[in-house]
Amino acid sequence: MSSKRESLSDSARASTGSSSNELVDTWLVYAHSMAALGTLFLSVVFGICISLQLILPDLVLESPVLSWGRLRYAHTQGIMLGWLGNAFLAFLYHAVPILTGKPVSSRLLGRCLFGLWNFIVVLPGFVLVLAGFSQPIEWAEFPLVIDVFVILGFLLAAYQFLPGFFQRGLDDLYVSSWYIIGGLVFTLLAYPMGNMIPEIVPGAESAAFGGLWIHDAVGLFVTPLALAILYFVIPAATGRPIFSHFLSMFGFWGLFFLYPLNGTHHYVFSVIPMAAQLGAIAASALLGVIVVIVVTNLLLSLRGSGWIPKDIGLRFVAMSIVFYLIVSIQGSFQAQMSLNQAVHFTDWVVAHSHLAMLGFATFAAIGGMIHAWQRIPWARYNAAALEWSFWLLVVGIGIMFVDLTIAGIIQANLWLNGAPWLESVQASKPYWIIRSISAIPISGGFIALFIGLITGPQEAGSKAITQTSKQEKASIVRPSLAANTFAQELGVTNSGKVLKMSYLAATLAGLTFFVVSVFLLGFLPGKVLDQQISLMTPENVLRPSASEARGRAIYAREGCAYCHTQQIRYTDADINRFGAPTLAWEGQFDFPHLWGTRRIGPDLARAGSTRTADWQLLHLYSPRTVSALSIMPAYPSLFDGGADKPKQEAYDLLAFIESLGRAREIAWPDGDIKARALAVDDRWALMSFDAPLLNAHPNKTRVRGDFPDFGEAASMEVGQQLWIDYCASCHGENGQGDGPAARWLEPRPANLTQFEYRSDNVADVLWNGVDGTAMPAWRDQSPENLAALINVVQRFSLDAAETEPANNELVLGEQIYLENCIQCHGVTGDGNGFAASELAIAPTAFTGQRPSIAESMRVLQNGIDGSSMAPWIDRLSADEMMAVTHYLREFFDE
Amino acid sequence: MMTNAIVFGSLALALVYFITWAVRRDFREQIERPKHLFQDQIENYDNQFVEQKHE
Repeated sequence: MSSKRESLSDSARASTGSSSNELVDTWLVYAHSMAALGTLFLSVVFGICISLQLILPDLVLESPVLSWGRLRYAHTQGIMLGWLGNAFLAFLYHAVPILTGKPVSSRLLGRCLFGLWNFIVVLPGFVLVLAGFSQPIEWAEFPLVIDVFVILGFLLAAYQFLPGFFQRGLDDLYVSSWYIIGGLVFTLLAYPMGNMIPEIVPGAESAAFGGLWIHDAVGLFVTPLALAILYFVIPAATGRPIFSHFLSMFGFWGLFFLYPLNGTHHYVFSVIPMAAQLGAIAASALLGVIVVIVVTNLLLSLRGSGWIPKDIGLRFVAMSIVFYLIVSIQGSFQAQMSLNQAVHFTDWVVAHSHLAMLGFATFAAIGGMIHAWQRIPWARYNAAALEWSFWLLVVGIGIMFVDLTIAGIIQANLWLNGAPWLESVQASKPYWIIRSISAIPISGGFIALFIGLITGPQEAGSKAITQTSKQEKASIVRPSLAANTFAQELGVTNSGKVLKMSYLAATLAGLTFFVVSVFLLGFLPGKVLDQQISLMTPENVLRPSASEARGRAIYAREGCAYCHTQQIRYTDADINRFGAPTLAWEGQFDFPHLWGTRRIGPDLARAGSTRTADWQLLHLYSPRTVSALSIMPAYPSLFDGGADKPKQEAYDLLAFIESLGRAREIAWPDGDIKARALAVDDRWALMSFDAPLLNAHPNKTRVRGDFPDFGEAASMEVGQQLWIDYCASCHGENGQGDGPAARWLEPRPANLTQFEYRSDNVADVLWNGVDGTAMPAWRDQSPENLAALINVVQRFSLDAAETEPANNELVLGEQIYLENCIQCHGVTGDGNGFAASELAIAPTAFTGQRPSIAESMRVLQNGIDGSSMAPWIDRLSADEMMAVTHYLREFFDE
Repeated sequence: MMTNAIVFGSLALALVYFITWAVRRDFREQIERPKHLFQDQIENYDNQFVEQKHE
């Protein structure tokens, strides 16, 4: 056995024939590590700004550059390409020469790649997305022009790192080498697919490819390179081989086969063919099994290192394994339909993605970086700061993960119960505050990491190798384990010629896996969706106008899709809250799709004709003026100083919002009936056709007259709080129609103190809204809340002490009313005159609400802006107006 | 159909891999060889590094 071991050692020595200084370009390790930390700090600052804006939405009111959506773009791309991209490159410059026994292809190329990656990709990418040039695709937010250079970067990286493996020969390739080759090659394939194809295929097809990329970005770029680090650092730091190379290769092939097949689990319950969804769900479950095997192998490889390894790089790596296990099991479960229908779009998923990128991948990257850093002869090294870094990051990420997971469960529960949307926002706020606080230990951990790598003595790193690690090996690793018992048992020989061709087969298999995933989850669903679109699209479907197309670009630029999905899912909760699930043809002009992956605000797939134009514009200009609890970012840059002065961009965005759901609305119900007849076998499409309402948005105004009995009212205190939260923005705290939004709205909100209201009239308005005005329906409020609001409204009336009119006044009033008012208000004052149905805003029904004398006189004198009620001051005298006032007040049926 | 292909495809590949490992001694040897080679490579590199650092 000893001769075999010597033979292996000779072979190894030959393969690392150069001295360590010649072999590894430490400058590039250093430079990419520093660039990684620089972009990490920027990305974390972006993330903190995003987090704070959820609780302080006006934090950067005047700056479109720092608006929520643009920062979100920069945050995710910064973490993936800036931080992890640089950290992985730093590790590759250290690891690949050791794995291949040869320096990388070219030191000059290394410097060019460094410049390209940081000064042509990452920094310009940040500048462009913050300036408003971006691509609204998850994990692909940098604009297409940057994508070209990213692909060039991956090509250069492949040329830089891969030839050494092929020159060395693929026999006896260590698992880290496999992951590095796989990561670089498959990212090169997946990146153009995920970044470019969604731009050229529409809607649901675009989403299918987008979903593939979301998982490929994690599964083919981040995970392979992170696992390469884990498999590299563990044996280096523990001084003994990994537990089983067989299991590690099983994991490698399992991951490369199954990861790309997971993509569609981001769109479960969507219109993407159910076969693809179920395939992705099955692949997700299998992936969990593979990860358990991978993690078991990794943990067994750590045996003897203790729960908290002394070597700080190894400690980060060990924690990364723990995070990997949690995040993967969580991912497998949340892809299953029962859990997915509840937690999808909630903060549960945000917790999951942060645990993947900030937990698993970041800890692996830091572990690899520290390991390489210890081996840079001239680099400073501060072990105490790195200790702090570890603990601060564990605490910070732990708090963030638990906090957001709980927030996600609470949001899911409220959404399933049909609670008002803003209730879920309010319920989330304490958790968002804690999430923002978790940024303190996380930022502290990263600062400590930076300090750990730029302070301390230069020889401290090598001491960490010779002392900490060796002590660990000597004192902690049991001799029986260090003696390579597994190899002895097997009797390692060099006789394994039988499967030499397996490497060629493996390469072909890997490529086949990728092609199969794109075929099964991208191309094939695309063909089915194409058929569905051609079958079900109504005749003469409207194409987006130029203004709507420009508005769509603004919507994409500002990252609106990160808070508002545009896909009503095939679930009861979505059907009840938003209406008929989205059909494939509804997105046939969406390049790329704007389906979104998170709902901080409600879905907007049928937002058109839900609110009035002035409400929408005010909501864009100053959201909290019109909706006190809203956390939507304000977009004053779309206006010239006021909600009533929209720039063309605001009009375009409004036009786009108004177009959402329009095509289906126009086609319905005839279009749906025809399409339904053609889709008899499509169970999921039928679910959309059979939905009770096409647009079930709770705030959409409906035809007046039909409303349920609200029953027992909640307490007056509850009613008053509801009034402040939902009504006072327009009607004012005291119901005087003088809320902060009032001056922007036409017609102005009613002054409720100047009317007496019958309770059924108020119930009708609360349940159905007032069409043509900013008064929405409030169907998402519970019946007892609505009953409480009726009580609040009725208490506002100051009309109790009005004087009784004289008989002659009533006679004169009747005469004037019959001559001038019945066309709209009707003979009986019920608002049903013969012209009423032609008016955008229904005339007031005096049978249900009695204006005060002062209010009636005001309206008669001035009319109502934005309605058909004209001023009568030039046609009626003061006495005549008073007479008609007294007459119409008599209609009120107490 | 697609789900079956993925599930049974995965199981088939895993079975082939495990059966090969179980029945082929040369495969077992070959599949574990890289970790020992790597161990020697990494220790060799670290030793060289520490020696150079001390020179």
